Amino acid sequence: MADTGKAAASQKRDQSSLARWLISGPPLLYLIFFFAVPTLIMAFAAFRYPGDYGGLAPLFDDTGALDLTLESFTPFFSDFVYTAIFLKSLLFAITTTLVCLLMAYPLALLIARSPQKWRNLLVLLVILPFWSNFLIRIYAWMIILGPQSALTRGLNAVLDVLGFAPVTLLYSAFAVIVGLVYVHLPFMVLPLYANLEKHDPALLDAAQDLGAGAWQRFWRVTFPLSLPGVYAGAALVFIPALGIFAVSDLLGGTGGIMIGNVIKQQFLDSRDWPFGSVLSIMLTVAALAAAGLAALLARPRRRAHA
Amino acid sequence: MALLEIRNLSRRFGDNTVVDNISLSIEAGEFFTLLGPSGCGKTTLLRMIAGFDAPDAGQILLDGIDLSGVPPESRAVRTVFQNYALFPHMTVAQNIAFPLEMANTPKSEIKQKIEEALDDVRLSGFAARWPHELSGGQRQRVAIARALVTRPRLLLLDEPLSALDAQLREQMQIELINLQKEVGITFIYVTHDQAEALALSHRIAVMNKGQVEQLDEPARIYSYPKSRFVADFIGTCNLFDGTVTQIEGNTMLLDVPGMGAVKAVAAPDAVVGSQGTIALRPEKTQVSAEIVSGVADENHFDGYVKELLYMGGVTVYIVETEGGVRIETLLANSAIGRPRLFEVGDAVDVAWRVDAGHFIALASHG
Repeated sequence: MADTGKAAASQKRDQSSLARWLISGPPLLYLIFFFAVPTLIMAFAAFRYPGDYGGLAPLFDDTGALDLTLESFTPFFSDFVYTAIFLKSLLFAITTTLVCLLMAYPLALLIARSPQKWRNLLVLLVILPFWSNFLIRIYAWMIILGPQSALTRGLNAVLDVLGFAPVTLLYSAFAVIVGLVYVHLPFMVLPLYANLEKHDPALLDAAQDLGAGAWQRFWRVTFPLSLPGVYAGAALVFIPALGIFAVSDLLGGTGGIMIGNVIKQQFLDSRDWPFGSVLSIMLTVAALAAAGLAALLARPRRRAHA
Repeated sequence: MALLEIRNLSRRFGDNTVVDNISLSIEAGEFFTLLGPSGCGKTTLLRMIAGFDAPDAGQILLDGIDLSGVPPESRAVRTVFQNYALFPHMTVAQNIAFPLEMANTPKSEIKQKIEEALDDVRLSGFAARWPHELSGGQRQRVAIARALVTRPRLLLLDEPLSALDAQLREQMQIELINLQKEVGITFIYVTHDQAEALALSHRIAVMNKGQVEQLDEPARIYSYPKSRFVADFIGTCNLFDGTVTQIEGNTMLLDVPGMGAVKAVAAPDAVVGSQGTIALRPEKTQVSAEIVSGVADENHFDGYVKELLYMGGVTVYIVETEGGVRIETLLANSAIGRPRLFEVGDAVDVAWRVDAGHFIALASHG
């Protein structure tokens, strides 16, 4: 009897593991073929020679030997220009993440603390920009920041009165940051909101009951409990912001070039696929490091030393 | 001067008066319980004392000082919340240190006070644990230690044991009594569990529909309920509604439909013709197989055992009289050699002494 039961149980386990594979198999295969394999192809391309007319040189030379090289890595580590652009991209992405955090946190808190019936509407408003095309929205910023815009002219009129030289807003690092923040803000708001919305209001009552004022309630209870949301939002903003090229292409001008633009140039303009691959690898490593850091910070707490 | 004085306190939510003109005073060192069914206003009253809700009318005075406008963080009042509300991102020690840090207690004292607080609730050695590593009872104790560590004037407990299982609840009740005695801090305890209220409290305020129906010591609440509601809400009670037909010396007679004349102790507020209820606790009855009548200071009714509830140590018998009135009785299963004294269908005599029933005049609520 017991054996039959055990056999039935193990059969059931087999069935459920089969079901698991049927459900998770297709997306897994999708990721393998359209993400993992291309990434490996790209990584491999970094070790090959560029073709004479773009693309890649043949994998085997005339003698039939594998024709691989580390040559494409040299410019990245020797030419300061690329390192500088890479570091600047990092700086842009970090700034974007911080500005997004500062803007998104109060917004997410406001939504999470508003009456239940309003919350879904407010979340909808946050994602409303997604309803219109990304490029159109960036073009709109080109007009807003352009030299003829009310914003620029108003600002320069004030600067003139105060005795400062006029400024141009468009085609600058400032314009890129504005665009990056604008594009990525919802990705910070949503995970923060999802986290803050789950907080038990009794904890704030308890903190207040135990003598904590509004500021202490925020810093000692709300903020530490929201850290997983902060890390998730930071990763969702930082990683795409680091690799993006459209925003810097349209708003950045020469001063606002990011690593994404350089990669695009290597593949489409310079037709140097191996070097483009090298830069892509560097970008992937940086993004992985950021994601790893976020995961490390967001994991459940260890035992205290107290 | 009373420690806490509540004067004509009212709170309305829309058209609903949740707390209706309540006045009561609580002495220092008391274990005071607000008891009532859900929606009776007890939790709202507690929240107003803690400062989380403001009354529409009336005053709350702590040590003679009006608390209106004083925010919760500035009141010498602490609350133990129903689901403990421990901070999940802090260890036990950090949780207990929280109110000390808020009060700017010197670091050197904090460590010692944490140890003392943990000792109070018998959790020494748990300082480094995280709340999620604790059992329900342990979390409860941490919540109490955290609330008591700054030695408040008043501790409010909002159904603190409702999330625990029955056995643990009883153990925690005993610990609460001892703890309150030890620390000497006034407890205001909110519960809908009448057994818990009777076991723990020095005094109980039984609340119904936003008002205090009766404020008294547990034994008096149980034995001398002032209203039909209190009699019904506290424990199990037979309630016989009738009209006073005769008063003679210490005894009066009521005419109860379905039973006839029922003898009771003459109530000072009763006259011939006044209506009221006789409240009779099941355990105050005697049941025997022998049909008796004509005993001067006893009531006797015969009937059949209609239903029984065997509960191990005791059995509840529902006896139905000829007139169809059901009398609930409770007997210890004291017979040797058989599980209980009677079976369903047995003809029995239910008797109680005249002074076992308690008369509640109709005027004191329906």
